[in-house]
Amino acid sequence: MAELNMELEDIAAYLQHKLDRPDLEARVLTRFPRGVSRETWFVETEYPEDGKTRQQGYVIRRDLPGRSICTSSLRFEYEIYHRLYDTNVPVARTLVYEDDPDWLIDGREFYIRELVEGRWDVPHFTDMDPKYDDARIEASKEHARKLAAIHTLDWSKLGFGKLMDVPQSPETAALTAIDRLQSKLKEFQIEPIPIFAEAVGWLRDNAPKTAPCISLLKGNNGLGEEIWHEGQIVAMSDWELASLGDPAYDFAWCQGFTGVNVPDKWNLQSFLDYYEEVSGIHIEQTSIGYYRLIQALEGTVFSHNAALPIIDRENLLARLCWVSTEVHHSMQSGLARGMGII
Amino acid sequence: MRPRADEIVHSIAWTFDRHISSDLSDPFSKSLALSISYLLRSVELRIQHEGPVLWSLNRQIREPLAAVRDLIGSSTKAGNEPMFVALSQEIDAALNTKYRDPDDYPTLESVADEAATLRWPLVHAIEALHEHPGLFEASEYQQVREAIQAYHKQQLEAEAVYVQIRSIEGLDPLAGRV
Repeated sequence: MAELNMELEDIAAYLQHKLDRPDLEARVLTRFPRGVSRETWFVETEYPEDGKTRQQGYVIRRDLPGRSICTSSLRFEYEIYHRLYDTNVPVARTLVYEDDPDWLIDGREFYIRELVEGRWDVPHFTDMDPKYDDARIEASKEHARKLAAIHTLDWSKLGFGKLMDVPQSPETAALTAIDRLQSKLKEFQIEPIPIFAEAVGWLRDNAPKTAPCISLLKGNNGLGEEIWHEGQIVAMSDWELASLGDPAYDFAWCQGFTGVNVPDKWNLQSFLDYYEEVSGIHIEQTSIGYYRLIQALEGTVFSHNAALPIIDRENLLARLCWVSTEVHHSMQSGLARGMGII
Repeated sequence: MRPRADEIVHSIAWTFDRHISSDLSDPFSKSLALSISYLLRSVELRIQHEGPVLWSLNRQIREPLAAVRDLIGSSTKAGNEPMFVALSQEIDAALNTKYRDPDDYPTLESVADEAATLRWPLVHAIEALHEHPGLFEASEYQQVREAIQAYHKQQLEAEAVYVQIRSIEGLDPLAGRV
């Protein structure tokens, strides 16, 4: 069974070869401590350029040993970054997707993107002192602007229709999402999940009859998912749950910003109104409530998949046990609560 | 022999938190240590509760399964549909399977296998009933749907006892991320 490590000298040799920089030095290699879906590594490098020493960080992404527990492939994630670069959606630049067996590290495919300097959090966002209310509102507006940029992209021109399922119409966006998740679960399901079957029926019956448009969707978004620098989102990160569908879906997933509430000044509706102002897309709060259940459906699928590497002894990382039990149960409970069963 | 397995796991968790986890400095190791702390507490509770919970749920699920079978039997239209004929047979097979000899101790593995064998026909029943509600008398159909939903509630609430462990005293809040 493959280990989790990645050696600095391996990645140094690879970057020297790939960037054609034999004088590149890889200084520090660290692993992102959190996250369960894939491995994320950061490498700091420096190399001479135009008489100076240039420092550049890179991010390496690869699946866990054994098999991926993501519902999308590593290549899918890479393609999203690759296609979005040079659009008005800020993302890190990708360097390479490596699947040449001669260059795989630890036998696993990986991709590399440039490290964008910034931070994952927004300073003082969770400090409820009223002196930070305006900062919270401004951060929410910035996130709304970036969601607007994603949702108004010409996804067809960028080839996303070849990468993802395309709903036949905006009105069938929810059904396309349900079909995708049902199909994905069937690929690996190892035990019955009665509440999932119940939720699929309920979600089909209660799908929104209208949707503003079909947009590229990020899925995971919001606080802790994007990179910030001086009040701006400089890179949107974590695209593994991207799809095409109703923009309301992204508001269901949005962490942190949909919950900002400053009495008489800002709330969820303010957030949606501002988003509509910058995007031209109207989102109903009821649709967001619906897509929170689609989110729980997705989470049920993903967390069930986390059990397989443990059961098959491919990857015994204890964190997968936590995902496939407590998180899995939380997702199922979310579905049951959303349907009024508990 | 004392301590019991659950008492040993409790001891391991206590020792791990106080003498190992606290000395970790690498962020990845600290994050994994938090997962392990949670899981040790979950395992302790699973040792205590999982067997009896599954045993009880396996008794409870028989009611909605029998109700589905009876609903199919009461509908001439459903009785002529191959999907429902197969479903009735699947339910009967699951309900009538001998999961263990009556004198055998019900091992966790055997009650877990029984749970899976009983839950698959429930999944298929939910799907089939959702697809063809018109084959049944409305009030009878609704009663069976409510029986199934009552079972979902029973299952999720019973499992929560040994799966939802974040509120356990002594652990830092996970804050949604590991």
